[in-house]
Amino acid sequence: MTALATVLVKPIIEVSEADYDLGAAWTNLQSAVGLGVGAMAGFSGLVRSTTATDAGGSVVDEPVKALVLEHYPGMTEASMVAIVAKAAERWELLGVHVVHRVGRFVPGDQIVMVLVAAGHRAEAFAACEYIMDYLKTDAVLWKREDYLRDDKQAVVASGESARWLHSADEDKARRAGWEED
Amino acid sequence: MNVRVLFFASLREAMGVESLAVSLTEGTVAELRTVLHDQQGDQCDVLWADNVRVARNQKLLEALSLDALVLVDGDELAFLPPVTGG
Repeated sequence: MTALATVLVKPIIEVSEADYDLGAAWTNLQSAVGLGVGAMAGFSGLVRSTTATDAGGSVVDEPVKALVLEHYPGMTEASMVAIVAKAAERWELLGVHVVHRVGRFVPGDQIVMVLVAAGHRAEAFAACEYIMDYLKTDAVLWKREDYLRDDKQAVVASGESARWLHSADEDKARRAGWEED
Repeated sequence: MNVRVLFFASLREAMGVESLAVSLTEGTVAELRTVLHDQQGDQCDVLWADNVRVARNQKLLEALSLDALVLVDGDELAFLPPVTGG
């Protein structure tokens, strides 16, 4: 890979309980990277109101009461920094802002934001997707779904019916796809 | 020596505690495994499942060399189930 002619403004990588303001983050990133920017791409992940599959991988339509995201302070941030660094080696990026929320959320809540600024759209789209795919498989974070029903297999200390999620095969396949390129 | 052991997500719930201070003599991970089992019982078995990663002071360890690894006083050992972020 050739030396990068562009300069990546120091990426902003946050683990936060607080919600994020997409519009403000978008405007701030555009201002930070200056007039060399020709493309910005963004992704925002939300809590779905139903779970897609059960523990055995079967498709179900289970209403979700809450989604809990747990992290390991320090290691989680480092894992996210490493993902963004790999993206910045791969594409010429001008700016990146990633926020992953932790805590307890309900359907409709925002949980993860990835914004990428680059010279051209191909880099912006690709890096945004790459960062998101690696957040799924490599970031040190754990998700637990709490259900409205009370007959699920695992019962946690709070007495709610819940399940810690497993990586989806689709997520692993998407990550593997980047390794082959 | 004393080490601090952390459990996350499903492992924290299985252990019923998020961290333990453990005193070791030799300091190997093999000794830690024995001491934990003596103190906490069979619920510790989940810690040694194939899909659990172990981090020492926030750096991931290789599973193959784990038992022989010698810890030092003040080490933080974290047991991490498979991650599911994003």
